[in-house]
Amino acid sequence: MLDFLKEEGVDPAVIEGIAAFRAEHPLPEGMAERVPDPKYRYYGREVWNQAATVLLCGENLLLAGPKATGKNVLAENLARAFGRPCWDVSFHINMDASYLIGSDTFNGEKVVFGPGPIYQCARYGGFGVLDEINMAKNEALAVLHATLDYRRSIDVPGYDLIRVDPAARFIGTMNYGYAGTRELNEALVSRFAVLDLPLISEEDMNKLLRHHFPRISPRYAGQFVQLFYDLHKKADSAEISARAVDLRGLLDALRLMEKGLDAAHALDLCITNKTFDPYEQTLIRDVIAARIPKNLDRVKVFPG
Amino acid sequence: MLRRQYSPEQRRALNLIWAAAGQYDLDPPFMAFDPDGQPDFYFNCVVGLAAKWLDMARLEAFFAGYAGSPRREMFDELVWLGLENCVYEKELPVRPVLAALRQQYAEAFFARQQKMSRQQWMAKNNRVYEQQQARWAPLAHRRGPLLTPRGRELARALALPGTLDTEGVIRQLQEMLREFFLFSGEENSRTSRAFHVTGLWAALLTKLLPTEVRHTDQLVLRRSSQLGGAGAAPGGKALLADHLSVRRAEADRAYMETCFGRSIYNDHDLAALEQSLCTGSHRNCHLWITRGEPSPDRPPDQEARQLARDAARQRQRNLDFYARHSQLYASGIRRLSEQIQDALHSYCQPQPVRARTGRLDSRRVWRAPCLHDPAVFLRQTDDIQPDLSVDLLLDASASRLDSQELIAAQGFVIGESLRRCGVKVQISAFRSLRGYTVLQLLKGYKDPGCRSIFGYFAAGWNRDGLALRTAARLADSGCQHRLLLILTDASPNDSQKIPPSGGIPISRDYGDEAAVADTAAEVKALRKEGFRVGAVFFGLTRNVPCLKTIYGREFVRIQKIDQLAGAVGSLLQRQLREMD
Repeated sequence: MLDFLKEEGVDPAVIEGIAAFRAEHPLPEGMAERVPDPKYRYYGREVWNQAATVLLCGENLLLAGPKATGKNVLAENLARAFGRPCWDVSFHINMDASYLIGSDTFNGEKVVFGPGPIYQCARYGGFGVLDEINMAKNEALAVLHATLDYRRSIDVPGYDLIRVDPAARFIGTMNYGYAGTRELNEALVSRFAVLDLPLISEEDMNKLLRHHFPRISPRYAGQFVQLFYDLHKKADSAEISARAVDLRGLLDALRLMEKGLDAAHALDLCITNKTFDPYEQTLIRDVIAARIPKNLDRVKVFPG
Repeated sequence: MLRRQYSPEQRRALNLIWAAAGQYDLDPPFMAFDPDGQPDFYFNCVVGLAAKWLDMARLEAFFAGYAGSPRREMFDELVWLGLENCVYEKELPVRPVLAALRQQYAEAFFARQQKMSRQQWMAKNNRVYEQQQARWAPLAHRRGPLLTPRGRELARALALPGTLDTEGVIRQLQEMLREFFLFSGEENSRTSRAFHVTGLWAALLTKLLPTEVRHTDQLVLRRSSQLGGAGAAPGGKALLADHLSVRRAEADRAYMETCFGRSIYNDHDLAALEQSLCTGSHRNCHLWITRGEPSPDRPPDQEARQLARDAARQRQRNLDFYARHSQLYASGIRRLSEQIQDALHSYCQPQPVRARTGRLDSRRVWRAPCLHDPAVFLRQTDDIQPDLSVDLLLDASASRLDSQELIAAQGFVIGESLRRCGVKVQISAFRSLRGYTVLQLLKGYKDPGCRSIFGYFAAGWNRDGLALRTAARLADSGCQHRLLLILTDASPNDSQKIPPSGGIPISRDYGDEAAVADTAAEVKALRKEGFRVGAVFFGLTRNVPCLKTIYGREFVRIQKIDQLAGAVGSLLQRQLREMD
């Protein structure tokens, strides 16, 4: 991963810092399985520099940005780069303190404490990814305040006060204004450094496609990149919903094409059909047709 | 304010143009359709690409240069043939698919020929047609027409190279028109003939021909196709009269009462309401809040009788329309009720109810010794009784003339669905006229049914800021969660100006940026008060920035008015999810 960061042109001081962090905080025993092996690399030198610096300084990081900006990909990549075990917590409306910290459970003989992901993360010095943090009610998140600020502790009622391991970091992700989200309160936001993730740049998206599909024709890679931006622009103008602006879907479609499916069907399956309104589907198909020939097949997209 | 409604096909064509141009605020001068009325994929892309690569404002000025010519249709076809070649060459390096699209278009061009009737053949301009054939034949691998030397020269002139800029393109096109068609621009001097028809002819012709709807300050309660018909005051005259006459408050008030029915407030309460709400940008404005019941004190004059007849006719049209589609709407009500019920179950906690056993309610405990009321306990039930009120504001300005029946039917679906789920709902229509912002209460919180929604009709202007402020005042203040949803085109507009204020010493029109800023400030203030404000947007794409300014991201856009109920359902779900 550090080699990748060098290739990306990340500040050498930051890379050295990450290497030093890894040396200072060796991976606890039995935790190797928890270190993520990201399927996608996060491309974006500036973002890497900022995010890694925040974590090296011991701060927690809140990644904000619209759909398809790579918030979770970056969180996974950071855990990998820092060599830390990762606990991914998907937040939802009914999230409460016991889900995060842990709750009583019966082990067959007696009632014991069943640790939650935040507890484990704090104990083993992991990276806690708080996914869609603004989906949960603010009251449920109040339990994290002491964990996230200078106190770095978790007081489990009826059990011990545990100190958060110095290597532990928390990375929140949020899509502001996404359906089902709410405003984060000031108390919580103040415990994070907030990094507003931009939409992936044309150059970085080209790199991403070439990394995953080394045989892709540069000509068509460019057209798929432009297709993504066309869809983004259309969604931004509220002509279609944001469902079709799906970078994962685009990569999945290319994967299907690589296996032999034609472009029209692959894009239908992975992009167009994600919206269920027939009229919206027509508009999405029009955008696709204005970039990708209907009869485009594997040989043309993946020559050689 | 002129309102342009787009059919789904037109909107699709626009989307093609916008996507190719990469600009979504573009108002293109042309849209291309095939003979079946379907958007022409390739040529709409060409129109969009022309906007991308060339200066559209200058091109439009060039188009306007021959707009008065009787040969304009032929010129349009030839000019676009020229532009097609130019933008194709410019765009091809960055969009390779264009070559395939061009070839498909060429093949479709010849395929269409085989289906053309004799009349269609006769209607074709031979000179244009042979140029089109010459352009498309090689691409479709066909033999081109046998052109005369002059025809070949014209074909060469129409193959505008991609290296030209806007000025070069216009210069070459002007040269082409001058050289091959002896067009020097003088054909524009002819004035168009105008006929003025009234009565039955006017009603018939406006039904057959395209019409424009203009707002005036005289209430015109008609369908757009009937504008200009018997009994309706001419717009220009009404507007002029409004500006020249000294407006008499009593006369305007009487007019409101005649048109919309008596106010639900007495004079004293209404004055107090105006004093508290008609402030800032709405100073000098008035309010009229009505259920549409005729005033018993005011004898109807001829105009009032006519308006009452028109309103009753519109109500009957609304009812007939609903009856014709009742099955469809009944399933719509079922679907929306289920959607709301699901959301309520997911996001609302069951409310405790008063009971004789359960958890002691300390606030009510005094009732046991004093009133011998044993119900001083609270008991949890499974029933969801949402502590929620929904106020739906329907824009009833004249821009909605074309969709009155649909809006009434959709309003009914929304009202009935919410009522069935036990949600308090109030539905009002709002419009402005002569400085009055009129809120017509179509369904109150306590009304047992929703059929009064069919009393919806469209007329007048829309002063969104004041309408929102008033609707918020009328909302149930006892509810913990108050949702205010509005059907809007994000284009607030009123004839009553914004009065001078400290910063701006002159009065301004209530429209464009000033009105958007006012409405946005109003929405912000309501959110501060604890209202959740969301919009269902049905309007022009160019108003989307205004929409975002006013409502932030709390909006759902609909392309057809019959998506209104679904959109309100989604907004409601979204708002319910966000409730703490």
